[in-house]
Amino acid sequence: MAAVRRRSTRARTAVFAPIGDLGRAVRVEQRLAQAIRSGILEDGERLPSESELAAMLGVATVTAREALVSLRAQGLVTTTRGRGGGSFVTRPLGAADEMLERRVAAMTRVDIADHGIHYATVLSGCAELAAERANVEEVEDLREILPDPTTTDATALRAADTELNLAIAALSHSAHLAREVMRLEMELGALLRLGLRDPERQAELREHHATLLAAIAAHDGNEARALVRRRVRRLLGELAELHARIR
Amino acid sequence: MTDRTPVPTPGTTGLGACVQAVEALFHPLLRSLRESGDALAPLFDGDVSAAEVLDAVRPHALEVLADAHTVGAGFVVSPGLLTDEEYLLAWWQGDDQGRIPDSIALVQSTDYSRQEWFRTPQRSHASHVTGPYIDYVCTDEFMLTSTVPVERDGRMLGVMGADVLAETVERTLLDTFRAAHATLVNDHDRVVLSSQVHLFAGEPVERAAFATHVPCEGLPFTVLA
Repeated sequence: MAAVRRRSTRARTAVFAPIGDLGRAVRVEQRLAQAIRSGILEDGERLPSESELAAMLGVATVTAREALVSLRAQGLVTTTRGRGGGSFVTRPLGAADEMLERRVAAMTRVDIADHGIHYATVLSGCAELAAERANVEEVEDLREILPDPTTTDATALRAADTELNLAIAALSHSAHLAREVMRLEMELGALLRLGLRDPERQAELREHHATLLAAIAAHDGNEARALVRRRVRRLLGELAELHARIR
Repeated sequence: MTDRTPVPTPGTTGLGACVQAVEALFHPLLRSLRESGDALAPLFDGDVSAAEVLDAVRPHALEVLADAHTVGAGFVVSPGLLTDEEYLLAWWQGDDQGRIPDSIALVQSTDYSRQEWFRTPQRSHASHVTGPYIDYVCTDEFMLTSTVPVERDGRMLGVMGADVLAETVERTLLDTFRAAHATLVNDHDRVVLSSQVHLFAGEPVERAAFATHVPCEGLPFTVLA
């Protein structure tokens, strides 16, 4: 996970200023929660380590840890282990996401499946045709659309993924198909990409992009089609889970 | 076909509630279709034209459509019974309750006698619910179609039927099924609705994978859990 761009220095300084003694873990937790909800700390941003956080806030490491545990329980922080791991801000909802989630909540499961089957069939067909037809230069063009490998900005990842689908559809050489994918992306694409706030989902997206482009480069139409079908099916399951939580 | 696994006190358990909710949705509808069909049957004692059938069916179809779950209703005549038309879908639908576009092509070329919603009640002499299926004959919607055979003196006159959107079934039943962690399947082992978020309407399921099977009375549906 790479360094994240920083902004709004004064507000940030206040977030990490030393904290008093009373109910310290709760106060650490409240201050960070507020900063996350208000957007001072950005979605996907890596938080300082427990010990760094403790030093900055002037509390014991165990107090910082206690606060992080509580933030995790509230879903405001995600912790991943291993190399590149750490605690990352998961902002509840951006305004746009909130609107999209209201749309999801208003849908039925029948509607979600209906859209999903359509989307999966059209997109997997495009991927198959693209694999059969793309030449070296066209595959290279697709690679250039891929998101910056260091970005954790959900908006940038969503935009790149959408553009990749449109570019793949264009390789079918059917204007009808390209227009249909454009329509589908506007209708369903944004809903299927809601999960890209989550660093794990972001890693899956990169993995998917890599294998799909490899299949297209290898002119393996069957593999390209299967990859897209599997991926959309997974995203559809995640959308259904979201629907079950918020409807 | 399936074992009715004993449910401790039907109606008070989650599964009992599911069965009751399914029956509460479809039983009144089938009863209303049966009454309409009985009332229409004498019409065929003499020669009858398409226009006469349309006139006679209309008030019955509108009465069935008064059930807020339905989006379409009508009478479908057995091929060859009318003096002027081979086929007739006397069917009303939509908010304006208009009759479906009965272009000559549709009336003349659509042989609905192989459709499940016609064929099954014809063969079984009993009511049936078809679906969920994409109804490409009329609405292009994901639908459940309830039909009852209309018979007189051993002669099959047609089916009286009503459409309910799969979405309406979901809206009506999902909370009950979710509370019971249950899945509703039809006799083709296709999901009607499920509490399992990854299992969508229309998808095939392995019935044997469920420990408990509770059939719904007089309906081609089984509650699985």
